[in-house]
Amino acid sequence: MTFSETLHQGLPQSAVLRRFAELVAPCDDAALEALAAQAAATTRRHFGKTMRLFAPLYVSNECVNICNYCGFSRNNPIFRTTLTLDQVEAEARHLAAEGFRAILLVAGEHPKFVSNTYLADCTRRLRAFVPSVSIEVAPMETEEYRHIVDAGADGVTVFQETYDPVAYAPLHPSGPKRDFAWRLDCPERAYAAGFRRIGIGALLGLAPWRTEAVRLAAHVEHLLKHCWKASLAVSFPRLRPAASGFNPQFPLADRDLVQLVCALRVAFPEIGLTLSTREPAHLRDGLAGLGITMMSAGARTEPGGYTGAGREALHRTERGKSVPLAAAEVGTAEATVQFEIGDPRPHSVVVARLRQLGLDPIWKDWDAAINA
Amino acid sequence: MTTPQPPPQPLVIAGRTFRSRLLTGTGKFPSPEAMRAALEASGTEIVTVALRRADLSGEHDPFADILTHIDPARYLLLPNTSGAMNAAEAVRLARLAASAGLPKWIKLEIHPDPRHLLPDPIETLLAAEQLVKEGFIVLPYINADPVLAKRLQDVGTAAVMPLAAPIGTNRGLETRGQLEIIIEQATVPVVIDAGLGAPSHAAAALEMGADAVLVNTAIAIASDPAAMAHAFRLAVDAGRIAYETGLASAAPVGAKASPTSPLTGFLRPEPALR
Amino acid sequence: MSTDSVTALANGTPVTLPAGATIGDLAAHLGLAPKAILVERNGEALLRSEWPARPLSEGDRIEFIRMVAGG
Repeated sequence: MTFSETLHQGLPQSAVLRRFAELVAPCDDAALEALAAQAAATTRRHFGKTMRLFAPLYVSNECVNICNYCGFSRNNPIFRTTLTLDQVEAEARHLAAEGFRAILLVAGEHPKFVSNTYLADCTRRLRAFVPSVSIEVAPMETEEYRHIVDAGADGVTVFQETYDPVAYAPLHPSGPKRDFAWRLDCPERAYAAGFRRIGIGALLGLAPWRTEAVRLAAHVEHLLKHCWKASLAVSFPRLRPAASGFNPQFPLADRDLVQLVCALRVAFPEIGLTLSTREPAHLRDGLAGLGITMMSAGARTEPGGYTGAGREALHRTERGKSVPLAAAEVGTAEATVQFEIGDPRPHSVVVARLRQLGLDPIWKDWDAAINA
Repeated sequence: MTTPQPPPQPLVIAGRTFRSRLLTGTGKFPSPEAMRAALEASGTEIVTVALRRADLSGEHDPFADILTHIDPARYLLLPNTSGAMNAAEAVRLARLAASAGLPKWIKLEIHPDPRHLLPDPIETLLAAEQLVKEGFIVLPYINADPVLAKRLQDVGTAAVMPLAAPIGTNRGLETRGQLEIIIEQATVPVVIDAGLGAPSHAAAALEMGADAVLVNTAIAIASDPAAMAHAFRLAVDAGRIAYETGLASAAPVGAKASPTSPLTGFLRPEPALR
Repeated sequence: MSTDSVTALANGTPVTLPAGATIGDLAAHLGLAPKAILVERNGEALLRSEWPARPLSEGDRIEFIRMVAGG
């Protein structure tokens, strides 16, 4: 039974979910401090004093979906581009030179510009010098994922955005992303294709965080049972101002984000917890010791963000057709970002700060070569 | 008058529903009558039996034919493959058991070491894969090995039966740590089997989330098997109700230790910084 | 080996019966109640409905098995 079927039948009342609900219940500062202490100790036991580093590499900001909260939404007249294979490689070489050994390929959903064969080709290009390539793109079928696994990708990330189907519908008025259940079962389809790492998460701010958190925890428990050979990670993307000026209806306070991270860590000691550069530096530094085990650093959230690649092909996409830029815009326009960066520190500053906090930055965690 | 509590959730194995979460064995009893009385008192619905060559010497062995003492209409007979030394022998015994025309349920147990009766994981996995292909409902008796448990579920067993302690030792939940992992990861019922020596062990097994327990020795060798069977019945029900109600999580040890500088201080930047 | 009899192994011991004897005859000869036994012929389990009337062949290895008490 897939998770969408489980969720549809009502959440299972397992011991760990009951406990998790207690951990995310309203609490005073002293209780939060005690929870943080437990989360920190639990993280030390399972992950030691390490912090894995990765970099997102946006290959395209084309998209066929309308999502009210996202900069890439089809109805936003933003500057779009899709990198060529050479440009993707150039961006990856730039990151590799900075030390990154784990790269996350990110793209909007566009069957033509971002097909699974294109992604497989990108993966093959990068795997020559990047040990860990993972993808955060549109959901696919198992057979399509298999191409990308065979090309050497080991991780896949799919955010359900919100686990509340009632809240989900109006946020996704048009495009394949309207199918809530098909997206929700995507991690299990990806597991069946052979991905070793699975990343999930909710876009925090779209629904009340406590109910969102319990459903997210139920998804974690389900995947730990059914995808038991994959290592699971949860991310905490919190809604930031986006080109479309979307303001979240249930904004998540810093304090609640801390409680959520600590509660997930205590309830699921062994899963990875990821925090991207959406969050400001002081919050990332604070959470680094309380449960987070993987971070991006010096990230850019637009195609060609690291090297300027793809600028020559910038255009707008209106009703599926590519519209060239106005003369005045050529040369100055840049690809539009998916969201504003909260922690603009370059990766070297982040690494230095982690060491100050007593954490060892891990660039390379694993290499498929040993399994080849 | 205590308010009537909702009945605990039923046990479901391979789509078949059972009220009782206590499975019992039929070995080691002093007499067929004592066995029958104990089964009655235990409230069990699933009873294991073994297969042996018929004795042709003509002496009458009271236990010779279990079917005269256990009504297959009242209990689900769960033949085991004890005596098998490898997968091939286990498959052969299973086919023999099925030839009796009973539901094709089989307790797959392969223990080549007659002293400790510990299950052979490799032969068990091989046999399980073959028996599932032949349409058997396979309940494999295994050591408390979480990866083996998942491998068995992947080949389609209807449950997993990890041991609490070796058969007949009555030492209780010695494999608790691994059992917790098996239960946490299981997508099929977990029946803790072997080594449960006291009703409190059975209650603890259900409290930790096991779906059922199988008890044989502790009941059969009791001075009054029927009384002990009744005690196990109460313990299993108590453990399950406690689990469903939700045990308050024990306070984490040393949770009160407060670190020197507060860990969540970064949420409250000092006024000077504003 | 005369043709007017048939010899089969029953749980490993040779038993000779008149030609045309069935497994059911062999069981009866050994005092085994059909309802209480399971039969395997040359390593192959036979359904309860199958074996009583099945004729013995020379050298058949017949196993008579019972369901007995067990954990």
